[in-house]
Amino acid sequence: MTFPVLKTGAVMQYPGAKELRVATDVVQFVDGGEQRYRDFGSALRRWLIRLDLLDEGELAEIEGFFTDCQGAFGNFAFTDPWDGTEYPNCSLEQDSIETVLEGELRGGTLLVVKENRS
Amino acid sequence: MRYFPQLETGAMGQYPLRRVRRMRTVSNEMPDGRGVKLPDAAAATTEWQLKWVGLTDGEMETLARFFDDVAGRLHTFTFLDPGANLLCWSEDLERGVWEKGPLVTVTGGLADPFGGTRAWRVANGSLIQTLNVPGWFYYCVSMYARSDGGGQVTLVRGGETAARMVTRQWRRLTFAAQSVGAEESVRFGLEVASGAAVEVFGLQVEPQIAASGYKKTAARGGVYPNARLAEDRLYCTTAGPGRHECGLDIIHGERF
Repeated sequence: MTFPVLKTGAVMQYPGAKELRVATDVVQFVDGGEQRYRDFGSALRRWLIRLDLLDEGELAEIEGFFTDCQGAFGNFAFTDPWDGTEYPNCSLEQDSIETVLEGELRGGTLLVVKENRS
Repeated sequence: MRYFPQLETGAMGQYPLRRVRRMRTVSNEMPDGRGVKLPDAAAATTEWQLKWVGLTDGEMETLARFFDDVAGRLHTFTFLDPGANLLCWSEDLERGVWEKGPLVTVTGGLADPFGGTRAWRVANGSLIQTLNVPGWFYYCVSMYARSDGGGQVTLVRGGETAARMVTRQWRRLTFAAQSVGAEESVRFGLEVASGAAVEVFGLQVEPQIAASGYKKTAARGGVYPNARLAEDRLYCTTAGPGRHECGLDIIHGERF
């Protein structure tokens, strides 16, 4: 599956948001001391893709991609629009997609893509 | 069969149109970030939030009668998505849903009007898709077409046809009409004269009086049998003489 691009060739619009996630476990001892360790070997990424002013064709492509992925189930490669790095094991975070057509050429939706641990 | 009604204008809905598709994935994430996921495709649902303003007395009465007929959430009906292409597999004309005439040939992978290679050449016959939709609705059949040799292509909508000229340049052809037919399935498609060939792209059928932007479809088109109202009440406001407003939520699920 290929993540859809808009007719302009863009993947995201402003404001674009990206998140890095690590997992640290903290064990606190009775004397106040603590020990910290990593659950993850490396950080995982997450992108919030808010899209506005889409035409019906673009919106249909995005809904089609969501359906092909079966929501959060399917995996795909996602290229980070900030630095062009491809992350081969990503999926949608959500099991639902809301599309709104405010008028002609005024469609909008939100996708959340997350990197999975291989 | 029950069908969600069209307005007097031939529209199924008004802007803004809100649609939510929900899937179900059973997932289990491990502490190290790894995960196990299982799909449940049959649990998918689609919801629409429809709002109307400026409804006439007749339109309001039609909606109220429909609400009474389906008894709120009780009965199912067929819903035609106002923001969708009703056809299935709009870009794969070799699929079984497309009924081909005995000598017709289809060839894919041709240059389309948007710079891709998603157009098809249809030669020597008819290409039809039959949808289980009411014959008395307004429908708009549309497609992009061109031909090196010019000529014409015939758009089909039920028992009615409309011939349209094609040129060397891509043009969008439309055929919009309301039929008086009482049948509950309608044939949509195109016919090309014997020996002639036409390149086509973006076949689309919409339950309205004019074509909107082309929307690609796969296994599911915009026809939703077994849809239900999501609530047991119909709330309407009358803003003035012959000016009503109301809203309804509709839900469709494969398991309904």
